Amino acid sequence: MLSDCDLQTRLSEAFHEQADPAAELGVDAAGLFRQGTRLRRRRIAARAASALAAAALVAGVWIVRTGPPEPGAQPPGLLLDAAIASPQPAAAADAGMPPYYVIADHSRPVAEVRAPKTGKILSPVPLPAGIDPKMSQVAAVGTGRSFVLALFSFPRTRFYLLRLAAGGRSAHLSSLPVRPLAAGEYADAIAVSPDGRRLAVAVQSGGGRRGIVEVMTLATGGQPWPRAWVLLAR
Amino acid sequence: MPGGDEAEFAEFTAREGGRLLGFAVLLTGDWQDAEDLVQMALLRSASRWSVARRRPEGYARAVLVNLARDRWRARRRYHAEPFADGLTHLSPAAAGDGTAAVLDRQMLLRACRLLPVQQRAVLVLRFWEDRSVEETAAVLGCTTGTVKSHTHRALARLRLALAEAPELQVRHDRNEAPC
Repeated sequence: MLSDCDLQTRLSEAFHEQADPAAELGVDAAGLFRQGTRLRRRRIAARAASALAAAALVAGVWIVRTGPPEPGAQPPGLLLDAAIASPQPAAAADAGMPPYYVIADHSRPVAEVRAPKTGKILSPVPLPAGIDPKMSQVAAVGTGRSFVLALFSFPRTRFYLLRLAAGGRSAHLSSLPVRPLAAGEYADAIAVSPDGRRLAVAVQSGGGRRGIVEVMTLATGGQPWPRAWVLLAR
Repeated sequence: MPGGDEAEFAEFTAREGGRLLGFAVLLTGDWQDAEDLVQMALLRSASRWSVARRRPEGYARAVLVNLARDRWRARRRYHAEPFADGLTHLSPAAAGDGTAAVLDRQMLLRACRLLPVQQRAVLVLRFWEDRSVEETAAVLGCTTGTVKSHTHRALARLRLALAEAPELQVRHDRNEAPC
């Protein structure tokens, strides 16, 4: 049996035979450093963009839930203020689960109305031709028997209303009178106010470098506040 | 001062590049893998140079160990072959010169590759770079107790692996005339 000392000596000899400490490493140090600097900048930009997108979504939901600011009142300037969500009404908490939920099938242009308790498909809803189901967003309206869908069909994202009836087994999809997003803009998330009158859309553009939250009235499609929050990721 | 940082990084690369490459070779057992890992480790060090510059040798080695560990985890299922394969037989012509010693060292290196990366890193730092327990602990960012236990376990496993390996034998091929 080898002693520790013998084994260490043999290891040392084997290591020195395998690798030479004086070997040359042929790398372009200056190029690597510049590449590393770019990597660091990209990492910082990605983190900032994620933080801003999350803040924008929180702020959008907060705006939708609390309604427009009083005349003369200051808009919430601190993200901390925006992050304080309004408590859920007691009635809604008592109501338990929503009656239905809707998801878009990513492999085909079909939305599925499902039962929350079982996950069973109640009715498949064909979506308009040419839409990309992977880029769709869904938000429930009011009591959960209607849903707003943001559907992307190159080059624009349009908004639709899905009404359910007959225990979720009948569904009707209609176009909403809301201005479609401009080409190059994508809906990252959507939310509808409890009264079903306002729609908040987290809009991403510029390849993810720019994001805004747009709040629109569902009745007219106009923007109630010109004070859209423009958030730039640098 | 970006220009100063770049010069500092270039100086570090020129000074430590060879040792980092050797360290990576002994961790991975493969020159191409080692060169890839060293490039990646230097890139990561450069991208966090404001932190890495405090002790760049340790930082780059710690990154190397992490990268080697990721690679080892991804590949170990494909490396289940016995480490002594092809190293247990000598031709009679080779038996007289130093070939047996070379094969013995090759078997030891192959046995090292069966060890977890952290244990291998400790062995390389201790017995290739001749670092003390304290220096090794500082480089790897662990305690001296961890270094000692890794060393002890690694040597025990190596000893066991070598004890179980077949003895080196001189093989007389049928069509080869005896010396």
